[in-house]
Amino acid sequence: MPRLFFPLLLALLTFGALAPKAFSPLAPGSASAHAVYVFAYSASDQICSESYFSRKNRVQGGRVSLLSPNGTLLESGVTDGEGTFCFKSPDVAGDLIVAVEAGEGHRGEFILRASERSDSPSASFSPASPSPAPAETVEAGPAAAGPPAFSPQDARALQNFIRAELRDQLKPIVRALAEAENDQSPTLRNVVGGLGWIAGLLGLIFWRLGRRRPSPPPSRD
Amino acid sequence: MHISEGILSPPVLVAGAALSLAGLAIGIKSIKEEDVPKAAILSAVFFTASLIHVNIGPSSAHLILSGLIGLIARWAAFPIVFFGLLLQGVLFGFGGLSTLGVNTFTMAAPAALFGFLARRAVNSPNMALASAAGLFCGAVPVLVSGILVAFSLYLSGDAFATVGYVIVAANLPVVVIEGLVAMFLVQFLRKVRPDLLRPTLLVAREAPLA
Repeated sequence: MPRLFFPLLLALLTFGALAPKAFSPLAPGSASAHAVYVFAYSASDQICSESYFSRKNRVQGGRVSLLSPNGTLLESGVTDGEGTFCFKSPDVAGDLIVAVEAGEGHRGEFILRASERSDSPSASFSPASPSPAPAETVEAGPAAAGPPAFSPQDARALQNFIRAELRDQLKPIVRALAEAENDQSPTLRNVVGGLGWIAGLLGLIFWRLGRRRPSPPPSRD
Repeated sequence: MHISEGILSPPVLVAGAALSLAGLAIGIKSIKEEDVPKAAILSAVFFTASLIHVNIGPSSAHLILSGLIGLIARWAAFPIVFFGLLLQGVLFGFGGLSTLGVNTFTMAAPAALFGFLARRAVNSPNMALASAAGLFCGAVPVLVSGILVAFSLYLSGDAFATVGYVIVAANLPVVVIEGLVAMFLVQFLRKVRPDLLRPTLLVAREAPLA
């Protein structure tokens, strides 16, 4: 029995570590003690960040900074009770870094790629307009029955309206994608993988020790 | 207890890494061949323990079990904690690679020190003294680790008093639980595997076990 002590302890710990995940309703609130996870997404003319310690435990009152890739501080703020803070879109194109400091030495970062930004001031008006314009004329050709022709201003206004509407509608999806992409909370795979690493290192050490003496003496005593 | 990347100033990071390196050297030397599996299992225990959350009162924290590791492994707590932290950093995103040195030191040093100091007390024929030593070695290293974390944050520019208070307060339930766990562990091991508590590391070379 005593030989089983450590394996049992380990099994118990692994179970304890995973049980709250398996029976999540039984485990209200979770740790605030190891890592801060951050994700950010752009919505209309804002960049919103959300930060959390665990699914149910948001970073409240954390210091959020919006940084350019070279580390200059663009804007900063403090998270609300839901761990959320929205910046007004900066006049800077390209990648952005959102960093959250939650105190007690906890900090998290999220890189918002330029390709994932729909807020950049340059993108919101002119550059996209040439492409829909030809499409419109093509469509207008066959359907000659008589929809009134759009003036370029109308088309531009309509386009902006649709774009704004789409952004609002897509906001939950963009948010969910950003959240999923940044979900680093430990899973069963991570835990088992880590234990496997330890077992592997143990094997490596024994392999080395075994090679050091070519003919192992009978070690039973 | 895990300090993230990008918070500590470079001198603190370097100092932490140097101290941990020294501890690692002593610790790795102290592990005898037959103790390697024990060390690996303790590393696995440390690795998984941090996923167990303790939610008592307004704040919550996670188990560390460093005191328990120090009791059994003494200076070997350094390599044990180091590998546990390395895997937690890579797989879970706890702490970070640049802060690995500081984090190893803050968690392993108090554990190793108290485990080393209590090596005779836990083996004393007086069970009450041994239990008290177990309780002390389980609880106090967590507290000291919290203070070390606060101190390294202070050296990097945070206000020591507030951070220290928050960290210690958040970990008080953990301190109590780990103290009790270590106490029961000492009592249990003395009954079933007293050899695990004997000072096998460092000291054992001069005085082999019966």
